[in-house]
This record gives sequence, C-alpha cells and structure tokens, in this order.
Amino acid sequence: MTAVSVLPKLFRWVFTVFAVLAAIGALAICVAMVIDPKLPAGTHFGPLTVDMMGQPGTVVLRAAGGDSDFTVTALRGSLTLFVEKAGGLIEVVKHYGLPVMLIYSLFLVILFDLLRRLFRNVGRGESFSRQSVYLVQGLGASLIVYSLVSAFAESWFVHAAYTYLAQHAVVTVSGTSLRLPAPHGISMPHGTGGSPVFFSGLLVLALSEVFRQGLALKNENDLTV
Amino acid sequence: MPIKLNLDRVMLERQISLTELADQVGITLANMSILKTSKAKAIRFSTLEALCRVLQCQPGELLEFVPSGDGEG
Repeated sequence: MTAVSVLPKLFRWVFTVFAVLAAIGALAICVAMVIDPKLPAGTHFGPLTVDMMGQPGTVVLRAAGGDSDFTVTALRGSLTLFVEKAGGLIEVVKHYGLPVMLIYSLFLVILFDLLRRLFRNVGRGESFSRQSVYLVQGLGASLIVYSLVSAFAESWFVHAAYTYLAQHAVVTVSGTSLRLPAPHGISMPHGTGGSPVFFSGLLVLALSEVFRQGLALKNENDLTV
Repeated sequence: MPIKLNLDRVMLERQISLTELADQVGITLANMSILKTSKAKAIRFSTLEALCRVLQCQPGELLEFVPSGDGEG
C-alpha cells in the first residue's frame, strides 16, 4: 500500500466539523419551528444608518397599532420601501423560509457526511473500493435531488413572500408611490443556485463511473500475481 | 478461464507446502492461495520464473490449456 498524504485526513476532519455544524443548524431550525416565536406587539428599533450600494440609507421598525411598520430608505431618500404589518412578513419568513432552510441544512448534513466517509476511505488508501463508488454515486444523486427540491422550495418561499409584499408593501421612487403587482400571471423570480448544483451533480455522477472503472482495474491488478 | 494452473499436482510431487512455497518464491501466502485456487486473472513472468526455479519444473508443467467447450478452444 502506498503512503497516504495528510490531506485526506485533514479533509475528513473538516467535513466532520461541517457535518456537525450543519446538524446543529438543522436542530436549531427545528427548535425555532416548534417554538414558533412571534414579534411582540409594538416592537421598534432604529432608525439605523446603513450603506446601500455606496449611498447612505436607513432601516426603521416603527410601532403601529398592535404590529410594527418596516421602512427601508435608500439613495438619499429617493427610494423607500414601506411594509405595513411587518410582523406578518416575519410570520411568512418563519412558515415558508424555515422549512426551506431546514431542507438546505439537512442536505448539507448528508453532503458533508458522504464527503467525510469518502475521505475516510481515501485516507485508508481505499479510494477504489465498492463503498467509495457508492459514496461518489450518492454524492452525485444527492446534488441532483437537492437542486430539484431547492428550486421548488425556493419558488414556494419567494411566491409566499411576494404575495405578502404585494398586499402590504409600498415602494416610493422619487415621491411616486407604487404597489407591487399581484403575483397572478407574473413571472416569479427564483433562486439561481439550482442549475450549477444540478450540473455539479451530473459531473459527480460521471466521475463515479471513473471510480467504477478504477475499481475494475484495481480488482484485476489484485488478481495478477 | 481455459488456462489451468496445476500447482496442486506439482506441489504434491515435490512434497512442498503452500507456506513454504510462498516463502521461497517471495510472494505472500494470500497471493499464493489466489494462484492455487485458480482465482488469478494473470501471472507475471517473474512469478512464473520463481515458481519454476523453486519447483524445478518447466512452465508447461504448471500451466495447462483446458478448452471451455464454448468454441474458444
């Protein structure tokens, strides 16, 4: 057996830490979903001065009735986004955003665990083993499944958030107030992260075939005395 | 595999054990077992040479072509 470098061992530990962090993140999201925290009535903060595309802007959460209104000002006051009943927006983010984040976290747990096991095999000098081939195939398949599921989940979240904003948000551009059009019949923006992940999945699946052929060569070599 | 390795027969004639043969040929007992049980897919000339030297025989005594009956022979 040839000497194995320290790199696979290092990667194994890095991916172990990442898998644990992702699992903690998933657990935290589950806890948040169970507890279901609410924005207390009349919550307020700001105005906070923030940098918006190199220009000063402000962010304010102002108490209004039993809820709070959210205002973001950018480009020296010429662009304003006003959201009434910001508590409702937070509810939307909680009920639609948290499940999407949970899917991401669970995917990361699976991905890092597969990578950890793959690098454990590489560290042992067993790169071309049946288990390694299955792990690489699993990586590719999980990337493809993730890209499809995340595209659907992101669209679901964006649609819910946009529907709320269309009813409760007012955008003011240079003194002209505009309401967002109703979500029916318009093309919804969606996450752009899906496609690269999908093609990465295809690439990793193709790579698994290289591993499979490597395994066949190794088996043949092992039976050459 | 139509090529058969008659290691068993030659070992019996020479009164040599598998462990002894592996030691003298310079390959592991696991690899010698692969050869003996005809699981090997190929044999190196260097291994064949060592086997012939230790067993004092010709390659033809160790290797035998057995037609498999599917038209290959």
